[in-house]
Amino acid sequence: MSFLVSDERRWRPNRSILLLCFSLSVVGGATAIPQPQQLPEPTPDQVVFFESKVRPVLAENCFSCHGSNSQNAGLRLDTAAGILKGGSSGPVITTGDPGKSLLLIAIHQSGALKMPPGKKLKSDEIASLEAWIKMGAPWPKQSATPVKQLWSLKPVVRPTIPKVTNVKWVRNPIDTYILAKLESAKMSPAAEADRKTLIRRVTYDLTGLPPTLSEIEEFVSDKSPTAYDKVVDRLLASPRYGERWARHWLDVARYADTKGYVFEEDRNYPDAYTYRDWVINAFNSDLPYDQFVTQQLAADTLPELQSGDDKSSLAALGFLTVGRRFLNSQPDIIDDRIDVTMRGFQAFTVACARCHDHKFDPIPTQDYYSLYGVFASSNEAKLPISAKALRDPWNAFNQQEAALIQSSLQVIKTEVSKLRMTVSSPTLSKNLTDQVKQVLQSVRPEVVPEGANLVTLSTAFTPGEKEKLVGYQNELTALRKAAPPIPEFAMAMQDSPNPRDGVVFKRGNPGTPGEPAPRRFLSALSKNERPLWNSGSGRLQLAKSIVSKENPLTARVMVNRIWQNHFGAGIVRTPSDFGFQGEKPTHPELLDFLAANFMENGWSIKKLHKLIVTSATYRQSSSVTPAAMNSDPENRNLSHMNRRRLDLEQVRDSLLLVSGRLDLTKVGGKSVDLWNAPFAQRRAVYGFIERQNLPGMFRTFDFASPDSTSPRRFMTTVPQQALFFMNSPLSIEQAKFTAAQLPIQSAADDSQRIKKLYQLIFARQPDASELSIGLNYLKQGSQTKVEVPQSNWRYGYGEFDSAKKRTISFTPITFYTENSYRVSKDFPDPKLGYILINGDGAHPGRDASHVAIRRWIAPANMTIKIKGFLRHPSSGGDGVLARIVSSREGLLGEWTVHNSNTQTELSSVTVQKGDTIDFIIDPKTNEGFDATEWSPKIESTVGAMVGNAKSEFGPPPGEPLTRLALYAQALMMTNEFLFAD
Amino acid sequence: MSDFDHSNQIRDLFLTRRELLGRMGNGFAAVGLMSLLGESALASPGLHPGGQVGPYNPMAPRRPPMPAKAKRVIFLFMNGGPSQVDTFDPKPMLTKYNGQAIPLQLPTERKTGAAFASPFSFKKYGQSGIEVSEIFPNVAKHVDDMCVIRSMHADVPNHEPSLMLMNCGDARQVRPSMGSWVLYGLGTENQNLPGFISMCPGGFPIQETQNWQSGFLPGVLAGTYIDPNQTDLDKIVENIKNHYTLPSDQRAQLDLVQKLNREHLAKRDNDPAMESRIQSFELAYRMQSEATDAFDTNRESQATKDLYGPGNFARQCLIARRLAERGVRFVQLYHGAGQPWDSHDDIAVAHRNLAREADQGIGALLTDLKQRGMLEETLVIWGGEFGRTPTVELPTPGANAGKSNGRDHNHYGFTYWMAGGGVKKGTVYGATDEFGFKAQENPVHVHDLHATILHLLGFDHTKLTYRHAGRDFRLTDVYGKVVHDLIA
Repeated sequence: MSFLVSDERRWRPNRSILLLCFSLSVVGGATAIPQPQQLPEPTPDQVVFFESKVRPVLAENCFSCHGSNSQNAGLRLDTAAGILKGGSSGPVITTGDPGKSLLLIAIHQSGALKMPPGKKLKSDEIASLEAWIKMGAPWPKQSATPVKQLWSLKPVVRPTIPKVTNVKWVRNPIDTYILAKLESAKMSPAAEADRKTLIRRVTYDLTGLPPTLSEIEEFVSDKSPTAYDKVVDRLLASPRYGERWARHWLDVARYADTKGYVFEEDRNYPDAYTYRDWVINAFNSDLPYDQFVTQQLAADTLPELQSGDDKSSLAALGFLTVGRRFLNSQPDIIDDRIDVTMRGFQAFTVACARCHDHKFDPIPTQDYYSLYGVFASSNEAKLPISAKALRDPWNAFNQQEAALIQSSLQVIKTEVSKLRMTVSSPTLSKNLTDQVKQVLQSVRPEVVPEGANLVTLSTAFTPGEKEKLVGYQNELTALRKAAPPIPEFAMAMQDSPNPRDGVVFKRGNPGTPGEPAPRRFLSALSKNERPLWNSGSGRLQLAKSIVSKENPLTARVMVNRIWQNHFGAGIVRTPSDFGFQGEKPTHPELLDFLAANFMENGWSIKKLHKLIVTSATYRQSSSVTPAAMNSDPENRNLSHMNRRRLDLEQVRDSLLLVSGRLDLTKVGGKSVDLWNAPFAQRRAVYGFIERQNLPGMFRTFDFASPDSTSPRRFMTTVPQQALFFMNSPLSIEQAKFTAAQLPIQSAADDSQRIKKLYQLIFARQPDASELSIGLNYLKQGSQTKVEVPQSNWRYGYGEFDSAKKRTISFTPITFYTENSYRVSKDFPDPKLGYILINGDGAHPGRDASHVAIRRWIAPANMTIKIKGFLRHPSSGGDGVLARIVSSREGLLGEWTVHNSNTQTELSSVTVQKGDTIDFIIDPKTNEGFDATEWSPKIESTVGAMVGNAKSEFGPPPGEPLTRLALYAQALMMTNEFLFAD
Repeated sequence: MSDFDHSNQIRDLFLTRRELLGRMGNGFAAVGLMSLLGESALASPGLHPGGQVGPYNPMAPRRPPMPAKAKRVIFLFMNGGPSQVDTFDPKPMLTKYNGQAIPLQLPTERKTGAAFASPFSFKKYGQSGIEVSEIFPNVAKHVDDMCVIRSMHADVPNHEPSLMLMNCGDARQVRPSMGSWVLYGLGTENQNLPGFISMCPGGFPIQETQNWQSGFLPGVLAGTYIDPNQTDLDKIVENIKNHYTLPSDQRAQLDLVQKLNREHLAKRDNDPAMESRIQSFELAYRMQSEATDAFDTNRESQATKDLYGPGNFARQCLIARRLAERGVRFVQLYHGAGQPWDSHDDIAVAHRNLAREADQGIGALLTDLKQRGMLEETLVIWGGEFGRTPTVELPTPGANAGKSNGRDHNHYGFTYWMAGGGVKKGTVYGATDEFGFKAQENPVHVHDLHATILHLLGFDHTKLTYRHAGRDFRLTDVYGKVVHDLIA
């Protein structure tokens, strides 16, 4: 089998036309060449030459038309037999004589036949082929990459424990493998880390958070031999453990809360979080890894999970469904699912075989399409996972709602098509109003009209039908009013009713079907027999094949991922590629020991953690000798522990923990915005991940790209990270909160304050030098008065005097919550009612003396234009009055809206620096249903945007940092805070 | 190599430098290695204190493996798809056959009808006598510095895949954008500014931030998005300003941090990862003033402001020059949010207005770069995701209802031009058919354009690779050939 075929990854219509046939018939007189029976076996040197200079040239340039997928002119150049046989015009090489070999004549392009079409090989490439034919065209019998040579496909065998000299150092079998290699490299392991270092390391490692001072003190003073074991057990039992380790898996699972680029549809995955929570719970409950895999691929097919009331396991299927949507291109969605499954669980780059056989690993294209058939035979399903008591009413509600919508649509469609018929008849169309005709023209026939268009059209509906429609709408409104609470949903999959095998798409193009690809497991991972997966989609069988103890990859891949996240690098440093292109293990026996042990221990991940973190290897100090630095700069032998920098989640969680703002009360829940004030207090693992436009902070701190499965994170050092610590509102807020923490505020003097801050931030006492540096810094007194820049906007309520045409009172609102200004935390406020202003609009108070006022202050003298779109969406109440009022000129404009909208434009208003322009929402006679959308923009007449009610909306500016807060912030910027030794 | 072997102390990196090099193509590694290791004269000394090798800083400047003609790129992206026959590819036959069927009628996104003469007149400019439409009088003055490619072609007539193809080299899959590849290959010359900046006034183009995504490359190589409508620096560069601390107090605070860091580091064998982070705070501190300066167009002389003229587009061009001048490697600017050049109807008005918005700024940019001696090293690229049909688009209800005065998308043939950066001056390359529908003579595919751009920057496009998911990826995927006739 040859794995070197077409270099063209994907079929492209306008290009493949250019790939003319390699038609040998155009050259005559080449038929009398004597033919050898077989090509000679190359010498070792010739193998090197062939694999580096000959096969790549043929693969690059010829195999796409003369390879396994197509044999133009009957010629195949990817096998010795094919070359011997030649094409429709006979043999293509004369061994030992390039001049007489058609292949060479063609690539020299000296005659009529010019190959490859549309280009010419480089002269060194031609020379290589010439040299090869001169050698007699030796062709290796075996393919370049036989399956058996791939280390990762050999069975997992529990290796013998190696002999080591320094037996005293060994705490568990892991250490013997590490030590054996160190000893053979004439290196020795580092001393054990001190207890403070150790507990900080293992706590960050297992929970993503630092230990508290009391936890450290307890461990340091615990003289029992099991002191460390106790710490490890405590950490593994903490719900914080699952929140930490789930995130490592979510990197692999390319988790995000959105679909990626979409055209018009909603881009959110509102239910994705249930998958994230399932992963957290799976880690916390130490779900055996074989089940962890099986449920993510096929939870829906497991009767033992689905027969009871608890459907939470369905959320596991989010593993398959939370990927990017590729504008709903099915082949791309399936490709993503194959990729995440095979790289995620098997570290096998199967997706490379989408368009041609894998170039390096033993994965033929047919295998790719065997898996393709599995996923093509599965459908997505949004399924409720809450308890039956919640599910059933919701299901019933949905059915009724769908039925009503269906009936309404039926009426609308019928009536609209009647109207279309009417409008096309010259006599009948007279009965239609111009408005109706206009709408009919503006609405595409395939689109069901809605909103204002529907209202207009319905005026021409048959009266009886219109009544029916109104009836349905009323029923729908009533039904929705009494809607039951919404259960939680899984982004599940189900087997399609008609599962079927697929075919190979030649060059990945669904338009060129090839040989059948029955659903079954990969050839490289199967024994001689490859059972067909005919019952259901095949997802369950796929899962079973993956978690089979015979599968050489599954356990190795997962123990390597766990190892990587403990040490910073895996035993195999390409954790999602165990193929020929990946790296080989630094400690192959250790990897096999861990894999065998993992399976024997019932696939328990927590047991694996414990084995690793209690090893002497893990407990080494991170300080390194110059000798070790020289001989092993990447620490592949693990002669010391790797010092680790906190990652994105650890940074954010640690800042909030120190400031007392981290909410650790519950596990799971909907995703929250991490980066905009007011800052969410949940752990970063609960952050909303917008796959399409990933916020800058994720990228700055090397977050795993959610575009496809991510083997591991980059670790970069760029100034943008420093800017975050120095200037970001999040960092500044945490500094303020930290300085305001009770122990610091109640401390007697600077020296005490410094000590308390060290305890809070570093969980230790400052030494004398640190104390004096701190005292010196704080002594320099309070910060010079800094004027926190104010926005040009103010928010408040007040009174507009219609006689004077001016705003006569303005009470500023400074209470800010849930992205809006409100008069108090009670909403509605008992006295003042529903007054609220946000970026989109406002809700007024009770009466004309409590109108909502959005005030803009002119930053300079200028002439401005004001544009805006005013919309009052509700038919209830009596609508609102909107006004624009200048402090200089008085009332500038006034608009009334009630279930309607209008543009609010003013073309030329002169203002001087400090003048105010008020945007007022007045409730008229009652404040019911008065939420109004209005976020005007102000432009200077020279074209600069000087005010934007929406984009400039935000929380009130804060107070400058005190010296103490600056000091706290400084401590949180240090390397000590950001690294774990 | 010796420095690498002896002083490197990479320990806590998920992706070590050596592994990273392993992922780079051979051709790149051979030369790229040295500069990556901080031995390049270009390397910022601040990043490698004491000659030591710190953790991977993807922004550190690197030399390309081949001699480069261009050091940086300014890509003027006319999103929506400007019409070639109304701008840089005159077709008298269209006038002759106006209103009549043409022989070559290719399927595009929507139905089109008869030949549709350009509403604009063309005139020869400069010594080269290249013809340019009346709607680009200022750009036209620079034809003698330009290489006009009239035979561009892409794959499909839809915005999304064509934007992805033009910007990232692949229509559907998530792949790094050209700017990210260039940054990956070359780093950037000014550590105090982002190395790859994408500007689009008032919002995003179609496909949004995917147009400047880093794909599987490190996230910091993604383009930094800037809304040039914003004048508030805070909104331009995230966290660039501190509203709560005076600069002098911040300096004192940083001094404190660094003092503590030094003490901490001394106990830890001068770990380069920590050293590097110490330096990054100094860079960040300087970045605050440098960025303020870079984006503040008010610092330009009145003469320069007048040269560029009013409006957002002109402001973008001026910012682009300021950034290029400061060593930003790749600047891309979009005409506007959405797809402004998408003139399905009223093209006579729409294209005239769009060109009016763009013309003076682009002309000024070329003049300005030239008089500052920067044009030779700056590759300026102009074009959209595709062109437009020479035939008239037929009216569709709900879209251009009742109108027959626009053009549909056309990926079969369109125009790009490049200036500076080592391109052949005053030349026209390739041609569409006599009506301007399809690239006919010397067709240049998008992949070929990419290959040529990388070549101008000193890279063999087949060797600037990155290993991901089991194979070596490159901007041009498995396609592309350098068009040497475009190169001086």
